[in-house]
Amino acid sequence: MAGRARNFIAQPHVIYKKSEIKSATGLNLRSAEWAVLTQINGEQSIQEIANVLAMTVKDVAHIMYNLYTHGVIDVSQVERKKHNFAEVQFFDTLEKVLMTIIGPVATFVIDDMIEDMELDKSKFPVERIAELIELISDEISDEAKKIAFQSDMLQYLKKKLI
Amino acid sequence: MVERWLREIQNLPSVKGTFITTMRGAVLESYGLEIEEQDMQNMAIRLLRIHALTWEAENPLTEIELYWKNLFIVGKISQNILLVTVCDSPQVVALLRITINVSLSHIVQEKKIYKKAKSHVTDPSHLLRKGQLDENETKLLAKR
Repeated sequence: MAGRARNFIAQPHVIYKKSEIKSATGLNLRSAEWAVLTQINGEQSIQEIANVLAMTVKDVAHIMYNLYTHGVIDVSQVERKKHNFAEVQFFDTLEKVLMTIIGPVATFVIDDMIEDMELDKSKFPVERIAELIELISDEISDEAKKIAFQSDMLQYLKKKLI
Repeated sequence: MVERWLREIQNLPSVKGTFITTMRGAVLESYGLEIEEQDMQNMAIRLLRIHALTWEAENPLTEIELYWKNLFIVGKISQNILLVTVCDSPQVVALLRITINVSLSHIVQEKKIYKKAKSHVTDPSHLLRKGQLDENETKLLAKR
């Protein structure tokens, strides 16, 4: 187990997958460990799992270290993933739709949210678009308008991304 | 029509299925799940009890997310309808929540659903008092 522990890579971009040999059945896992384990799918990096679960990279890496030493997970990809960035057209649509709902402050709301996410419009990852839409939705107090905004953006996402 | 909106949710990655219930936990419709109606009802009642607790504290939760065994469960309440989504893992949570919101807003407008939901409106705190009777209690009641 000690030898295996030495091979664990805790860098945020590293992707792990569930072991094909050993399952978690019979292990006494805590709820946070289950939460992380259900996220490990050979596609999401440590950083992405931390984002989804609203945990720190350090905590997720620590849990994954334990799962790795138990042999429940294996390394899937060490190289950095190439990111797909959102097109300018997406932000144009987002601004247009939001403007019809909250008026001219739409631009500022979008910029504020992107800043809160510590991201940049020019390099905005496609996989975080839904998160941005959800954050902006929280700024709309009228429930009917919120649903209208989400519905319009969902239709756009379906057409363009899904 | 309701099925169409439930399917919208089920089409997302990792979603196993969805179902809707009244505020008393009666299952109105389900899609994609291979579990007994009674199990769906039990799951719904647990979610409704969490809602009832927060309702009593005058800060009712309308969105509840939890892990049950190794599944990710999302409960969303709107206009006396509970929509439960069962997922293998929360892969695209933000997109899932948006889809749930939009789908539920359409489902609550369905006449059939709206009528049934309205007839089942109850004080949420009743759910906290209602428990399952064990065998001895049932026998005791039968004697009276």
